[in-house]
Amino acid sequence: MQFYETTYIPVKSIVMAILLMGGFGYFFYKVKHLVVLMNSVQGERGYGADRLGERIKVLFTDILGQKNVRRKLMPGLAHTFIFFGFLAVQPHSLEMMIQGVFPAFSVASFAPSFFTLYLQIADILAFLVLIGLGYGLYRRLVLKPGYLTNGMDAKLIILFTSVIILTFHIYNAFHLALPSHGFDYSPCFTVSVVVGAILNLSSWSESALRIGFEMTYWVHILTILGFMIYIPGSKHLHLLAGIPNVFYKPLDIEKPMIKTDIEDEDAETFGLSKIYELNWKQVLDLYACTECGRCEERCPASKTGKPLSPKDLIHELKVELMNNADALIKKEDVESLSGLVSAEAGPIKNDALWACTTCRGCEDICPVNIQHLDIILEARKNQVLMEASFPPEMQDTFSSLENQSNPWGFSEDTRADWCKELDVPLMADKPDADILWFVGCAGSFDDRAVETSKAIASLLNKAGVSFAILGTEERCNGDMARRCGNEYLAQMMIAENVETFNRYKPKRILTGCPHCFNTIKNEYPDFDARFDVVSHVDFILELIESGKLKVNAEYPGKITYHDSCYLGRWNNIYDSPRKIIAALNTNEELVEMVENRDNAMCCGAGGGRMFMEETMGERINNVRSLQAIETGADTVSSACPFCLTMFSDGMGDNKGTQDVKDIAELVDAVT
Amino acid sequence: MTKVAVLIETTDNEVKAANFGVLTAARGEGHELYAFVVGADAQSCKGELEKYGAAQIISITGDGADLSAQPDLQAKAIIAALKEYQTSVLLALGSSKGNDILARVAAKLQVPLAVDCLSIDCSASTVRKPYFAGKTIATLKLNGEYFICAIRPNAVEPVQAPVEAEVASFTAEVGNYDGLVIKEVKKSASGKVDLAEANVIVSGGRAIGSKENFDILEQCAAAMDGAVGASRVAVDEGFATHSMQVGQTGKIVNPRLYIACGISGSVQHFAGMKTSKVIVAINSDKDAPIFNKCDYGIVGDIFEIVPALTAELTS
Amino acid sequence: MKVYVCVKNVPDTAANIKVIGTNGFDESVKFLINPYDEYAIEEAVQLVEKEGGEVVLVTVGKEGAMATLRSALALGSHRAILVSTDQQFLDSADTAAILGKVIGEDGPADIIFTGKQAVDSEGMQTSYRLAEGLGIPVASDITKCAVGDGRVTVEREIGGGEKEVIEMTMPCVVAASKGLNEPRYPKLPDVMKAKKKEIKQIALADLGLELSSDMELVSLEQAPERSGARMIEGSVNDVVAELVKALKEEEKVI
Repeated sequence: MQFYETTYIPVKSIVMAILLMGGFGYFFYKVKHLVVLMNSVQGERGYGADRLGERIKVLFTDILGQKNVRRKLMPGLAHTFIFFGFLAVQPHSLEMMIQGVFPAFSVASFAPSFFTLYLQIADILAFLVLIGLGYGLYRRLVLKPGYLTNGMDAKLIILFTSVIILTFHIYNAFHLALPSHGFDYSPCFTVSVVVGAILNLSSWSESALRIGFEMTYWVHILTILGFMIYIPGSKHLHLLAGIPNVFYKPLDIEKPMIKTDIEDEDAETFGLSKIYELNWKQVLDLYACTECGRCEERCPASKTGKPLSPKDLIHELKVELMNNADALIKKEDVESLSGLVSAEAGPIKNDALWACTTCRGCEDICPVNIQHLDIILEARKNQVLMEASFPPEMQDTFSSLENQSNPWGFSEDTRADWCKELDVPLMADKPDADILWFVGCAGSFDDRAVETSKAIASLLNKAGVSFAILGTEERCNGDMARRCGNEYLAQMMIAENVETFNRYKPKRILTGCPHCFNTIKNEYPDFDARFDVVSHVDFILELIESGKLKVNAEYPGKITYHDSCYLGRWNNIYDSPRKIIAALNTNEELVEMVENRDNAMCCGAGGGRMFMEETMGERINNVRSLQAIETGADTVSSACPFCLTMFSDGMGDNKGTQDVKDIAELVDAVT
Repeated sequence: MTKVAVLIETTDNEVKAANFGVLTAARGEGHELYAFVVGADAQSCKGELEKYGAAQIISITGDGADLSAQPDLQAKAIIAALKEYQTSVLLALGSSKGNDILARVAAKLQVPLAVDCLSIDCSASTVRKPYFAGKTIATLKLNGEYFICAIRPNAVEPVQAPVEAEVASFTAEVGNYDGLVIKEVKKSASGKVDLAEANVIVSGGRAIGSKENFDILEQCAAAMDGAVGASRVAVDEGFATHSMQVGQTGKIVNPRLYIACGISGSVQHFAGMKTSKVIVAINSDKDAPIFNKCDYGIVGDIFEIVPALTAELTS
Repeated sequence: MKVYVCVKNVPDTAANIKVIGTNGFDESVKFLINPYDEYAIEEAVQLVEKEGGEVVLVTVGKEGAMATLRSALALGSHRAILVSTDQQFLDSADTAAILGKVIGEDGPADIIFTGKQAVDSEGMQTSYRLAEGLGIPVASDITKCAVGDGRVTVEREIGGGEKEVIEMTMPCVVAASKGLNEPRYPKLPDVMKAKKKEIKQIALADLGLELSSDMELVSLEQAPERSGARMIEGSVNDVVAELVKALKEEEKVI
């Protein structure tokens, strides 16, 4: 006892002081390096703490509330346990550290009832961590899902954390067994008391208890310090990066693509080609990645055997960033760093880059709100604008867009031929129409989509809506060119449409295609064209709900609905089509596909993929069509011409017999 | 009386059938017809040529070089023959060879030339030919010492007008020329007509059902000197190779005639052949979208219709 | 190497052509580089990228040709010459004379590329007249071209799946066909640079040529509008007989 008090404790104090200074010092050094690295990249983009109130609320719902993490229920629950338990244990560990240097420090001494309450809660929450970790081990050792990165990193983290929690309990158990100095530990530990019983601490001698106590202390502290030093270099960096990344996340679901200033004569390059061109927020994205693999699990390309994995994309970029950290920080010769995109090597392979359908499944599910698409779409821009490198079958599509303002190259003066025989006025003749209906390329030229346009025209006339179309004044909205990286071509087409819009100054713009809808609503404002844009599903619902359209029959059979990405994940429109279907089909309930709403699987046509060859793995549209067939519904409905084509082809390939119809066609049939 | 010369195209000493239409057009209103034969045995061609009114058959050779390997010398020889026989009109088949030789002749004589003619009027010196890939028909007037035209193969229906022909030889003093020499004639690797510039394409879709069944289309295409194409679905199913794919993500083609067999007609496919002059659709599904886009439609079984079509074309 | 490429500004083949008056057409449609000329430009640019030198575009055209030349300059050519005229359709002998004069004065050319035909007038002869005027050899419908020491070896399509292998001395004229190469897509920096490349404009009158205009475009007729599919019905034999008759006699496509 004397040795303990006179030698061990003072030595412990000095050693602890050194360890803490060293440990924390090294930790802060590493973190500072990461921050410096983050600030050394040269991409420019403003990210502000605008709408501060909402952002602070996000900290509560998303971080504390772990809302997004629990979108995958079991791992989400496990993580919530781990998160809270780990947080709960921190103050105790902090006290241990301070006590190590200043033995007299004791929270119990100045706030005993608070301390008791805290310990009671912490002890239980800590145990929940073990349950969570247990589930984590189960996933990694037994379930082993393909999208989950299952390396040493994850297992080490589980090890570190379990040791920390276990030693927490054991330390507490020792507290219970050892004579206390004025503070009664007995009511504090519901779990640790059991640990104490398991270790049979009551049978230990006091000196054995003392030794055990101190050893537990060291193991606990060293593990924490070791873990702390390990964190900046591991995926657990998400502990630090996740919070600011969520704080700075885009608050709105709708997200325009970045507008490149192609007129900039001083710009040496456009889009993303090298690691130094990322901006600080994108580096934060890379830091925040937990390698959970939910993005890969969601990705339609990954699911069907394409070489694209959003998770790998982020990981490879992170590796690239770290490998070139010195050069980036010193800003030494960064232009000579190799490009990010190449045919064979990483970090972004050509095949992966062009496999993306821009469905935003990855961005939607990511628990730390990484914006994968910002990287993919900017990389595509660089490939197209600077390297003229893109899937060769796109060249004709680009030319057709440029020359005849539609991707198939049909003569632009036939754009209004689809409605020659119909009662569809032109804006030129009816400039005061209430609604400017932007029909779109598919709706004008693709036979299948023209059926949808005819249905929409019929509905508008039935409801007595005052509308008109642009006819041959309409150009492709620019979405396809933009998503394929051809920003120059896209801006050219957008400028033409903007000029036409600004001339007519429509009160409201109706779109028949979600791609037109998304681009005109969310991206045209960057080009000084800000209008009230409504998609045909929302508008049809308005017409039904206001009584202008009267449903006078039942649409026969069961209906299932496919959520188009550009209505759903890009614009949060999930309910309107369902309400419409409910109004048409009061006897039968809508049958949902196994993956629906925000979890809906992409049809495979977005991101320009409609115009590219799909040569690897299974066809995305076939897999999705199978899901539709499996619902046993009689009709598959959607609200997008591309989805319609994908399902029609998919039905053919899978020998399915379901009808494939647009929502407008369903409504037209029963009103 | 107008003297008209027709440059005859032969293969292996046999007159190509398409020449008979040119001879018919050449006969016009009582013209005196001269058939110029280069690089073939005029005697063996006599039988066919005299059926179509060629009273004079002139076998043209050069005084040194092989005219078949020397198109510029051949052109010079023909010019010499034109002068010798005082033929003020020169016609030929609008084939690759015919267009080439006539262009050289016209360039050297510095007189106008019309190619791909659908019809000609010697007395008025006018022709009718397509402009803008057949979207319009142009009437052209050629003012020059010689009226030179290449006639689109099969544009003029051949009509017989048998005569007794005389065969003569003419050797032109054209010397030699080493500026351009044809070294050899190669067969393309597949031996098949290339899709890209084919004038006739017979294309198959999902309904063809197998790689072997594509032979039916091959035979039909061969009967028209055409190429065979495929829809994306047929390529996916392995019935055809990607090099045969017609469509947005395959080849963009612009034939005069496109016969779509068992193809439903998606916009992606249509984008690849939308500039075809004439589209024929054969499909068992009367509601197939392609019927909205074709010029001639037949609802029926492709396995019955296509072989029957081949038989009709070769009869 | 001094490489010339003769290009023509033509309406997009995807555009609908509307005849106006006796022999005019609605020129408000989209105009672009004659598609066969794209292969010619690409071949020329690849040659000069390998051997060094410059690629000069020459065109005879109306004011609208300027924009087309800018697009063409973005594909790797160095400068362009535009001889201004007020007609879309010129006698090919006249076009060849103009091109020959310009190239003669600007040159001498090592090799001249052009497209085998223009997609509007489809005369298929300008390249021959140009060559004859300059006293050099010409080969057309070329799908392969190799430039060696003073000699050019080309492959020419003659139909039926056959090709002629032809050797010419330089300088010569090579008229490109589809498939000669894969024309590149312009990179944005090249599109920007093209705005600053030289396009020399020459008025036709200043060339001091006597033009013959031996070929007159008397009239243009609109091809009859398709009113929809003609469905052929009947027995298999009847159907094919009727189809073949229509294709031969009415459509004249076989």
